[in-house]
Amino acid sequence: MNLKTKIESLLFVALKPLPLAKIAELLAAEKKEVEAALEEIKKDLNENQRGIILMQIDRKFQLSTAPESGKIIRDYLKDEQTGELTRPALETLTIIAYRGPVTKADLDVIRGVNCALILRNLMIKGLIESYADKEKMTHYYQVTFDFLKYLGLSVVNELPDYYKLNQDENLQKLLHPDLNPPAVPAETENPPEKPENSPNP
Amino acid sequence: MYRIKIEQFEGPLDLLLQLIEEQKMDITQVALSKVTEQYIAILDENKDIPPEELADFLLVAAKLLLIKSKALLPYLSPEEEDLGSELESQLKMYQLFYEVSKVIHKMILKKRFCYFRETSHLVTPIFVPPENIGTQDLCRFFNLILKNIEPIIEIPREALHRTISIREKINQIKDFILKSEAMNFKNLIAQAKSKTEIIVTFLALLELVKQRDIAVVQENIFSEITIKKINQATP
Repeated sequence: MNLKTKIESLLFVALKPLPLAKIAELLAAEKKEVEAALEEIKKDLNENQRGIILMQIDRKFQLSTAPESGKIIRDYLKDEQTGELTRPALETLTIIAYRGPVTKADLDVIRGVNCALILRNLMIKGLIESYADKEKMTHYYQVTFDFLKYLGLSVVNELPDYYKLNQDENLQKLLHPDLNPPAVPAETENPPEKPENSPNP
Repeated sequence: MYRIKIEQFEGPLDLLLQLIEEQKMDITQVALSKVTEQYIAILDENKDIPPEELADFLLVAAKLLLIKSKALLPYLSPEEEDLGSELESQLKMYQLFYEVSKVIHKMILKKRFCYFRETSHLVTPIFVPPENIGTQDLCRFFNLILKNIEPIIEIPREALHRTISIREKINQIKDFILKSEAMNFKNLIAQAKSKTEIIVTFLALLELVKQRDIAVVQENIFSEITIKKINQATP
Protein backbone atom coordinates (compact mmCIF):
# COMPACT_ATOMS: atom_id res chain seq x y z
CA MET A 1 0.00 0.00 0.00
CA ASN A 2 1.54 3.31 -0.94
CA LEU A 3 1.78 6.42 1.16
CA LYS A 4 -0.90 8.32 -0.73
CA THR A 5 -3.49 5.60 -0.05
CA LYS A 6 -2.70 5.55 3.66
CA ILE A 7 -2.83 9.31 4.00
CA GLU A 8 -6.14 9.52 2.18
CA SER A 9 -7.66 6.91 4.49
CA LEU A 10 -6.32 8.70 7.55
CA LEU A 11 -7.78 11.99 6.43
CA PHE A 12 -11.10 10.29 5.76
CA VAL A 13 -11.57 9.06 9.32
CA ALA A 14 -10.01 12.08 11.01
CA LEU A 15 -12.67 14.26 12.60
CA LYS A 16 -10.41 17.28 12.94
CA PRO A 17 -7.60 18.87 10.94
CA LEU A 18 -4.50 16.69 10.83
CA PRO A 19 -1.11 18.36 11.10
CA LEU A 20 1.53 17.24 8.63
CA ALA A 21 3.82 16.22 11.49
CA LYS A 22 1.14 14.00 12.96
CA ILE A 23 0.56 12.20 9.67
CA ALA A 24 4.29 11.66 9.21
CA GLU A 25 4.54 10.32 12.75
CA LEU A 26 1.61 7.94 12.35
CA LEU A 27 2.92 6.55 9.09
CA ALA A 28 6.58 6.60 10.16
CA ALA A 29 7.41 8.52 7.01
CA GLU A 30 9.49 11.55 6.15
CA LYS A 31 7.63 14.86 6.29
CA LYS A 32 8.87 15.63 2.79
CA GLU A 33 7.36 12.45 1.36
CA VAL A 34 4.09 13.07 3.16
CA GLU A 35 3.99 16.62 1.89
CA ALA A 36 4.49 15.47 -1.69
CA ALA A 37 1.80 12.82 -1.32
CA LEU A 38 -0.61 15.37 0.15
CA GLU A 39 0.07 17.64 -2.78
CA GLU A 40 -0.89 14.80 -5.15
CA ILE A 41 -4.05 14.04 -3.20
CA LYS A 42 -4.97 17.70 -3.28
CA LYS A 43 -4.56 17.78 -7.05
CA ASP A 44 -6.56 14.56 -7.51
CA LEU A 45 -9.43 15.81 -5.44
CA ASN A 46 -9.57 19.54 -6.02
CA GLU A 47 -9.02 19.60 -9.74
CA ASN A 48 -11.17 16.71 -10.94
CA GLN A 49 -14.66 17.74 -9.89
CA ARG A 50 -14.72 15.22 -7.11
CA GLY A 51 -17.26 15.32 -4.30
CA ILE A 52 -14.54 15.74 -1.73
CA ILE A 53 -11.83 18.37 -1.50
CA LEU A 54 -8.69 18.67 0.59
CA MET A 55 -8.47 21.85 2.66
CA GLN A 56 -5.25 23.27 3.99
CA ILE A 57 -4.29 25.94 6.52
CA ASP A 58 -0.57 26.26 7.18
CA ARG A 59 0.47 22.63 7.51
CA LYS A 60 -2.82 21.20 8.65
CA PHE A 61 -5.13 19.25 6.40
CA GLN A 62 -8.76 18.22 6.40
CA LEU A 63 -11.15 16.62 3.96
CA SER A 64 -14.51 18.21 3.30
CA THR A 65 -17.35 17.99 0.85
CA ALA A 66 -17.00 20.02 -2.33
CA PRO A 67 -18.56 23.49 -2.35
CA GLU A 68 -20.63 22.48 -5.40
CA SER A 69 -22.54 20.02 -3.21
CA GLY A 70 -23.27 22.69 -0.60
CA LYS A 71 -27.00 22.77 -1.11
CA ILE A 72 -27.51 19.00 -1.17
CA ILE A 73 -25.52 18.46 2.00
CA ARG A 74 -27.21 21.38 3.67
CA ASP A 75 -30.59 19.85 2.92
CA TYR A 76 -29.46 16.41 4.01
CA LEU A 77 -28.11 17.66 7.32
CA LYS A 78 -31.01 20.08 7.72
CA ASP A 79 -28.41 22.76 8.30
CA GLU A 80 -30.00 26.17 8.64
CA GLN A 81 -26.87 28.26 8.94
CA THR A 82 -26.88 31.29 6.70
CA GLY A 83 -23.37 32.59 7.31
CA GLU A 84 -24.85 36.01 8.07
CA LEU A 85 -22.29 38.35 9.61
CA THR A 86 -22.41 41.99 10.75
CA ARG A 87 -20.43 44.45 8.69
CA PRO A 88 -17.69 45.09 11.27
CA ALA A 89 -17.31 41.34 11.71
CA LEU A 90 -17.12 40.85 7.97
CA GLU A 91 -14.49 43.58 7.58
CA THR A 92 -12.37 42.22 10.37
CA LEU A 93 -12.67 38.70 9.03
CA THR A 94 -11.65 39.90 5.56
CA ILE A 95 -8.50 41.53 6.88
CA ILE A 96 -7.58 38.43 8.84
CA ALA A 97 -8.22 36.24 5.80
CA TYR A 98 -5.99 38.30 3.51
CA ARG A 99 -3.36 39.35 6.01
CA GLY A 100 -3.38 36.52 8.54
CA PRO A 101 -1.60 35.79 10.73
CA VAL A 102 -2.15 39.36 11.88
CA THR A 103 -1.95 41.12 15.26
CA LYS A 104 -4.78 42.99 16.90
CA ALA A 105 -2.74 46.19 16.72
CA ASP A 106 -2.56 45.91 12.92
CA LEU A 107 -6.27 45.21 12.71
CA ASP A 108 -6.99 48.29 14.80
CA VAL A 109 -4.86 50.44 12.47
CA ILE A 110 -6.51 49.15 9.31
CA ARG A 111 -10.03 49.51 10.64
CA GLY A 112 -9.41 52.64 12.70
CA VAL A 113 -11.28 51.24 15.67
CA ASN A 114 -10.62 48.87 18.48
CA CYS A 115 -11.54 45.37 17.29
CA ALA A 116 -11.37 43.50 20.61
CA LEU A 117 -15.07 42.70 20.85
CA ILE A 118 -15.38 41.66 17.23
CA LEU A 119 -12.37 39.39 17.55
CA ARG A 120 -13.99 37.71 20.50
CA ASN A 121 -17.22 37.17 18.64
CA LEU A 122 -15.43 35.77 15.60
CA MET A 123 -13.52 33.39 17.86
CA ILE A 124 -16.75 32.25 19.50
CA LYS A 125 -18.15 31.59 16.03
CA GLY A 126 -15.04 29.52 15.32
CA LEU A 127 -14.15 31.54 12.24
CA ILE A 128 -10.77 32.68 13.54
CA GLU A 129 -8.26 31.44 16.08
CA SER A 130 -5.34 33.02 17.86
CA TYR A 131 -1.95 31.77 18.86
CA ALA A 132 0.75 33.41 20.94
CA ASP A 133 4.18 34.27 19.64
CA LYS A 134 6.12 34.06 22.88
CA GLU A 135 9.21 35.73 21.47
CA LYS A 136 7.33 38.80 20.27
CA MET A 137 4.90 38.67 23.19
CA THR A 138 1.88 39.15 20.93
CA HIS A 139 -1.08 37.20 19.71
CA TYR A 140 -1.68 36.52 16.06
CA TYR A 141 -5.05 35.86 14.53
CA GLN A 142 -5.79 33.69 11.54
CA VAL A 143 -8.81 32.11 9.90
CA THR A 144 -9.90 28.54 10.63
CA PHE A 145 -11.12 25.59 8.61
CA ASP A 146 -14.64 26.71 9.49
CA PHE A 147 -13.94 29.93 7.64
CA LEU A 148 -12.86 28.00 4.53
CA LYS A 149 -15.97 25.89 4.91
CA TYR A 150 -18.28 28.91 4.67
CA LEU A 151 -16.41 30.40 1.75
CA GLY A 152 -16.18 27.14 -0.17
CA LEU A 153 -12.41 27.42 -0.46
CA SER A 154 -9.75 24.77 -0.07
CA VAL A 155 -6.97 27.23 0.81
CA VAL A 156 -7.13 30.86 1.80
CA ASN A 157 -5.04 32.02 -1.17
CA GLU A 158 -7.90 31.11 -3.50
CA LEU A 159 -9.55 34.35 -2.40
CA PRO A 160 -9.81 36.92 -5.20
CA ASP A 161 -6.68 39.10 -5.52
CA TYR A 162 -5.13 37.29 -2.58
CA TYR A 163 -1.48 37.88 -3.40
CA LYS A 164 -2.02 41.47 -4.41
CA LEU A 165 -3.76 42.29 -1.15
CA ASN A 166 -1.61 40.11 1.01
CA GLN A 167 1.59 41.82 -0.03
CA ASP A 168 0.26 45.27 -0.71
CA GLU A 169 3.12 47.76 -0.51
CA ASN A 170 1.16 50.53 1.16
CA LEU A 171 -0.08 48.10 3.72
CA GLN A 172 3.46 47.02 4.44
CA LYS A 173 4.46 50.67 4.87
CA LEU A 174 1.45 51.54 6.96
CA LEU A 175 1.98 48.67 9.34
CA HIS A 176 5.42 48.09 10.74
CA PRO A 177 7.76 48.42 7.81
CA ASP A 178 10.65 46.82 9.65
CA LEU A 179 8.71 43.78 10.77
CA ASN A 180 9.14 40.46 9.05
CA PRO A 181 6.04 38.35 8.56
CA PRO A 182 5.40 36.19 11.61
CA ALA A 183 6.66 32.67 11.73
CA VAL A 184 4.33 29.77 11.07
CA PRO A 185 2.80 28.77 14.40
CA ALA A 186 4.40 25.86 16.14
CA GLU A 187 2.25 22.78 15.89
CA THR A 188 0.64 22.40 19.24
CA GLU A 189 -0.71 18.94 18.60
CA ASN A 190 1.62 17.29 21.10
CA PRO A 191 2.20 19.57 24.05
CA PRO A 192 5.25 18.70 26.09
CA GLU A 193 4.24 16.05 28.54
CA LYS A 194 4.12 16.89 32.19
CA PRO A 195 6.59 15.00 34.32
CA GLU A 196 5.04 12.17 36.29
CA ASN A 197 4.09 13.04 39.83
CA SER A 198 7.32 12.43 41.61
CA PRO A 199 7.10 11.00 45.12
CA ASN A 200 7.52 13.52 47.88
CA PRO A 201 11.11 14.02 48.93
CA MET B 1 -22.08 74.21 4.47
CA TYR B 2 -24.26 71.72 2.70
CA ARG B 3 -25.51 68.60 4.31
CA ILE B 4 -24.74 65.08 3.26
CA LYS B 5 -26.96 62.28 4.35
CA ILE B 6 -24.93 59.66 6.12
CA GLU B 7 -27.16 57.09 7.64
CA GLN B 8 -24.94 54.54 9.23
CA PHE B 9 -21.25 54.17 9.72
CA GLU B 10 -19.00 51.64 11.37
CA GLY B 11 -16.07 53.44 12.89
CA PRO B 12 -14.27 56.66 11.99
CA LEU B 13 -12.65 55.42 8.78
CA ASP B 14 -15.94 54.20 7.42
CA LEU B 15 -17.52 57.60 8.08
CA LEU B 16 -14.59 59.37 6.44
CA LEU B 17 -14.71 57.09 3.42
CA GLN B 18 -18.43 57.66 2.97
CA LEU B 19 -17.95 61.43 3.12
CA ILE B 20 -15.25 61.35 0.46
CA GLU B 21 -17.11 58.91 -1.78
CA GLU B 22 -20.24 61.02 -1.50
CA GLN B 23 -18.35 63.87 -3.15
CA LYS B 24 -16.85 61.54 -5.75
CA MET B 25 -13.35 62.46 -4.72
CA ASP B 26 -10.29 60.28 -4.57
CA ILE B 27 -8.59 59.77 -1.28
CA THR B 28 -6.05 62.59 -1.06
CA GLN B 29 -5.03 65.01 1.61
CA VAL B 30 -6.95 67.72 -0.21
CA ALA B 31 -10.10 65.62 -0.09
CA LEU B 32 -9.50 64.90 3.57
CA SER B 33 -9.18 68.56 4.45
CA LYS B 34 -12.39 69.27 2.50
CA VAL B 35 -14.51 66.85 4.52
CA THR B 36 -13.06 67.83 7.88
CA GLU B 37 -15.93 70.11 8.84
CA GLN B 38 -18.57 67.60 7.86
CA TYR B 39 -16.81 64.87 9.78
CA ILE B 40 -16.74 66.99 12.91
CA ALA B 41 -20.35 68.10 12.43
CA ILE B 42 -21.52 64.51 12.16
CA LEU B 43 -19.52 63.59 15.22
CA ASP B 44 -21.26 66.43 17.02
CA GLU B 45 -24.72 65.23 15.98
CA ASN B 46 -24.22 61.59 16.83
CA LYS B 47 -24.37 61.48 20.57
CA ASP B 48 -24.87 57.74 20.51
CA ILE B 49 -21.37 56.80 19.40
CA PRO B 50 -20.33 54.17 21.92
CA PRO B 51 -17.89 55.66 24.44
CA GLU B 52 -15.31 52.94 23.78
CA GLU B 53 -15.14 54.03 20.13
CA LEU B 54 -15.23 57.77 20.78
CA ALA B 55 -11.48 58.01 21.29
CA ASP B 56 -10.89 56.46 17.88
CA PHE B 57 -13.26 58.96 16.27
CA LEU B 58 -11.56 61.85 18.02
CA LEU B 59 -8.12 60.66 16.99
CA VAL B 60 -9.16 60.83 13.35
CA ALA B 61 -10.77 64.25 13.94
CA ALA B 62 -7.48 65.52 15.37
CA LYS B 63 -5.57 64.23 12.36
CA LEU B 64 -8.07 65.86 10.02
CA LEU B 65 -7.72 69.20 11.77
CA LEU B 66 -3.97 68.99 11.47
CA ILE B 67 -4.23 68.32 7.73
CA LYS B 68 -6.69 71.17 7.36
CA SER B 69 -4.51 73.59 9.29
CA LYS B 70 -1.53 72.64 7.16
CA ALA B 71 -3.55 73.30 4.02
CA LEU B 72 -4.54 76.72 5.34
CA LEU B 73 -1.12 77.67 6.64
CA PRO B 74 1.33 75.82 4.43
CA TYR B 75 4.33 77.85 5.62
CA LEU B 76 3.76 76.56 9.14
CA SER B 77 4.88 73.04 8.42
CA PRO B 78 5.98 71.31 11.57
CA GLU B 79 7.93 68.09 11.76
CA GLU B 80 4.87 65.86 11.77
CA GLU B 81 5.01 65.70 8.02
CA ASP B 82 3.83 62.13 8.03
CA LEU B 83 0.53 62.44 9.87
CA GLY B 84 -1.44 63.54 6.83
CA SER B 85 -0.12 60.91 4.51
CA GLU B 86 -0.49 58.34 7.26
CA LEU B 87 -4.21 59.00 7.50
CA GLU B 88 -4.43 59.02 3.74
CA SER B 89 -2.82 55.60 3.35
CA GLN B 90 -4.74 54.26 6.33
CA LEU B 91 -7.98 55.26 4.66
CA LYS B 92 -6.90 53.82 1.31
CA MET B 93 -6.10 50.58 3.02
CA TYR B 94 -9.44 50.56 4.74
CA GLN B 95 -11.18 51.18 1.43
CA LEU B 96 -9.32 48.28 -0.14
CA PHE B 97 -10.39 45.84 2.54
CA TYR B 98 -13.88 47.24 2.69
CA GLU B 99 -14.28 46.51 -1.02
CA VAL B 100 -13.06 42.92 -0.72
CA SER B 101 -15.18 42.36 2.35
CA LYS B 102 -18.16 42.91 0.06
CA VAL B 103 -16.79 40.26 -2.29
CA ILE B 104 -16.39 37.86 0.61
CA HIS B 105 -19.90 38.61 1.76
CA LYS B 106 -21.22 37.68 -1.69
CA MET B 107 -19.22 34.47 -1.60
CA ILE B 108 -20.74 33.52 1.74
CA LEU B 109 -24.24 34.34 0.58
CA LYS B 110 -23.86 31.87 -2.28
CA LYS B 111 -23.87 29.25 0.47
CA ARG B 112 -21.38 27.06 -1.27
CA PHE B 113 -20.61 25.65 2.17
CA CYS B 114 -18.30 22.70 2.61
CA TYR B 115 -18.93 20.09 5.28
CA PHE B 116 -16.56 18.10 7.43
CA ARG B 117 -17.19 14.69 8.82
CA GLU B 118 -18.51 15.19 12.28
CA THR B 119 -19.30 12.62 14.92
CA SER B 120 -22.76 14.00 15.45
CA HIS B 121 -24.07 13.06 12.04
CA LEU B 122 -22.24 9.91 11.19
CA VAL B 123 -21.42 7.81 14.22
CA THR B 124 -24.11 6.05 16.20
CA PRO B 125 -22.95 4.95 19.62
CA ILE B 126 -22.87 1.18 20.06
CA PHE B 127 -21.90 -0.57 23.29
CA VAL B 128 -19.58 -3.46 22.67
CA PRO B 129 -18.17 -4.89 25.90
CA PRO B 130 -14.66 -6.31 25.69
CA GLU B 131 -14.56 -10.09 25.36
CA ASN B 132 -12.76 -10.87 28.59
CA ILE B 133 -15.29 -9.11 30.79
CA GLY B 134 -17.88 -11.09 32.76
CA THR B 135 -20.56 -10.27 35.27
CA GLN B 136 -18.18 -11.05 38.14
CA ASP B 137 -15.78 -8.39 36.87
CA LEU B 138 -18.50 -5.79 36.69
CA CYS B 139 -19.53 -6.60 40.24
CA ARG B 140 -15.95 -6.28 41.41
CA PHE B 141 -15.48 -2.95 39.61
CA PHE B 142 -18.63 -1.57 41.08
CA ASN B 143 -17.53 -2.52 44.57
CA LEU B 144 -14.23 -0.77 43.92
CA ILE B 145 -16.06 2.34 42.82
CA LEU B 146 -18.22 2.24 45.93
CA LYS B 147 -15.12 2.02 48.06
CA ASN B 148 -13.60 4.96 46.28
CA ILE B 149 -16.55 7.21 46.92
CA GLU B 150 -16.69 6.34 50.61
CA PRO B 151 -14.35 9.15 51.72
CA ILE B 152 -16.35 11.62 49.65
CA ILE B 153 -19.54 10.60 51.40
CA GLU B 154 -17.89 10.60 54.83
CA ILE B 155 -16.71 14.21 54.79
CA PRO B 156 -20.06 15.96 54.68
CA ARG B 157 -21.38 13.72 57.45
CA GLU B 158 -18.68 15.03 59.78
CA ALA B 159 -19.43 18.65 58.89
CA LEU B 160 -23.13 18.08 59.35
CA HIS B 161 -22.60 16.64 62.80
CA ARG B 162 -20.76 19.72 63.98
CA THR B 163 -23.34 22.21 62.85
CA ILE B 164 -26.04 20.28 64.61
CA SER B 165 -24.10 20.23 67.80
CA ILE B 166 -23.86 24.04 67.88
CA ARG B 167 -27.60 24.22 67.70
CA GLU B 168 -27.88 21.47 70.28
CA LYS B 169 -25.53 23.35 72.54
CA ILE B 170 -27.65 26.47 72.31
CA ASN B 171 -30.72 24.51 73.35
CA GLN B 172 -28.77 22.83 76.09
CA ILE B 173 -27.63 26.16 77.55
CA LYS B 174 -31.15 27.51 77.30
CA ASP B 175 -32.41 24.51 79.23
CA PHE B 176 -29.80 25.00 81.93
CA ILE B 177 -30.61 28.68 82.21
CA LEU B 178 -34.32 27.95 82.46
CA LYS B 179 -33.76 25.73 85.44
CA SER B 180 -31.37 28.01 87.32
CA GLU B 181 -31.26 31.78 87.09
CA ALA B 182 -27.49 31.94 86.88
CA MET B 183 -24.70 29.49 86.24
CA ASN B 184 -20.95 29.32 85.60
CA PHE B 185 -19.23 28.67 82.35
CA LYS B 186 -17.11 26.08 84.11
CA ASN B 187 -20.19 24.03 84.91
CA LEU B 188 -21.27 24.28 81.37
CA ILE B 189 -18.14 22.71 80.01
CA ALA B 190 -17.71 20.20 82.78
CA GLN B 191 -19.12 17.37 80.70
CA ALA B 192 -17.36 18.41 77.51
CA LYS B 193 -15.70 15.44 75.87
CA SER B 194 -13.36 17.29 73.53
CA LYS B 195 -11.79 20.63 72.77
CA THR B 196 -14.17 21.02 69.87
CA GLU B 197 -17.07 20.72 72.22
CA ILE B 198 -15.68 23.45 74.45
CA ILE B 199 -15.27 25.71 71.45
CA VAL B 200 -18.77 24.90 70.29
CA THR B 201 -20.09 25.66 73.74
CA PHE B 202 -18.36 29.01 73.71
CA LEU B 203 -19.69 29.78 70.23
CA ALA B 204 -23.19 28.84 71.34
CA LEU B 205 -22.77 31.16 74.29
CA LEU B 206 -21.74 34.04 72.04
CA GLU B 207 -24.69 33.35 69.80
CA LEU B 208 -27.07 33.49 72.75
CA VAL B 209 -25.54 36.76 73.90
CA LYS B 210 -26.05 38.13 70.44
CA GLN B 211 -29.66 37.00 70.48
CA ARG B 212 -30.05 38.71 73.85
CA ASP B 213 -31.24 35.57 75.55
CA ILE B 214 -28.50 35.68 78.15
CA ALA B 215 -26.01 38.05 79.69
CA VAL B 216 -22.48 37.15 80.74
CA VAL B 217 -20.41 38.74 83.47
CA GLN B 218 -16.71 38.28 84.06
CA GLU B 219 -15.06 40.06 87.00
CA ASN B 220 -11.43 39.73 85.90
CA ILE B 221 -9.48 38.30 83.03
CA PHE B 222 -9.52 34.47 83.21
CA SER B 223 -11.89 34.52 86.15
CA GLU B 224 -15.18 32.70 86.17
CA ILE B 225 -17.81 33.70 83.61
CA THR B 226 -21.25 33.96 85.09
CA ILE B 227 -24.17 33.41 82.80
CA LYS B 228 -27.52 34.97 83.55
CA LYS B 229 -30.86 34.80 81.93
CA ILE B 230 -32.26 38.06 80.60
CA ASN B 231 -35.85 38.30 81.73
CA GLN B 232 -37.97 39.00 78.75
CA ALA B 233 -40.49 41.71 79.39
CA THR B 234 -43.69 39.80 79.88
CA PRO B 235 -46.81 41.40 78.55
